[in-house]
Amino acid sequence: MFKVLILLITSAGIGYTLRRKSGLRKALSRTTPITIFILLFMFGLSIGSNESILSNIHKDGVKAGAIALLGVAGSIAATTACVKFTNRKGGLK
Amino acid sequence: MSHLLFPLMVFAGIFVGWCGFMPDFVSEYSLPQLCLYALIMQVGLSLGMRPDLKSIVKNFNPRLLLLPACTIIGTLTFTYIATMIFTDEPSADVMAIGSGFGYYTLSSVLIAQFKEASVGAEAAASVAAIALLANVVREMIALLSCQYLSKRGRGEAAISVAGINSMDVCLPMIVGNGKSSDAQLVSAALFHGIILEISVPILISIFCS
Repeated sequence: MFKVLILLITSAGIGYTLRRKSGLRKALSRTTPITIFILLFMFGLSIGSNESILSNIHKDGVKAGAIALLGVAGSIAATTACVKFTNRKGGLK
Repeated sequence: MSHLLFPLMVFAGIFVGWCGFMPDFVSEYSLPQLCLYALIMQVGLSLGMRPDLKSIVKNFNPRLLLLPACTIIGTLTFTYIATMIFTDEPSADVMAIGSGFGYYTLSSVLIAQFKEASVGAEAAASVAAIALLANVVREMIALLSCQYLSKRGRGEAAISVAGINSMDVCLPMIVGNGKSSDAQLVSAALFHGIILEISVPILISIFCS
């Protein structure tokens, strides 16, 4: 966890220092999708080469849908409660 | 365009893997691990280089913290219910899946990498596959519902539903209604997205450790 956090904060700091380098910004916008493509392709490889995952994909789909719906419902419920609670003081914004 | 290519890459990988072609370099040289660190670095650099970062920090209102806090608390609380329904999945795995907030690319690869050391590649890929599907579904729900919620004067709920996508793909749907509150919603949506972008790797590494 700390490795990820330190890497994230350090690179954000470097990014802020180099924010005027438009070339770097362009390079980032081009290379980030490539990194994601490679990672997603390798992720797909590990799914495709695994028969038990492929055979359970319908069960996993139901789980995924339920987790997504519950997450959305939770977000709406918490935000609505918070907006109502803070409304007298001008809301969340 | 890249949003269409992301799922395509997963399907291409699945097809190649299904055909039985698994290149050695994938496992031999820790390539996925290196790519993951590269991606986290790119996410951090992009955050730091945001042209609007200074104005967001300058106009910081502590109340803005409430919105991402509501999204995180609400999502994780309701995801906890899912841990009671799907008892065959470890609670921490379900919570890690819920912690993606619609960031399907990063959350699925993070889970796959973090879980591999403890449960092995097969089990890690299975959890990561559910994470990918769950977060794609969340993004779809956000794309379909944000405008509706925003038009009904529930901009905060629209931002919260969008999760990480409140600062990019869902932003035009959240604020494109020509209302006077649009300017406030823009800063709230951007701040919300940035906080969630930081929280995704942190929460996933906590639940996967």
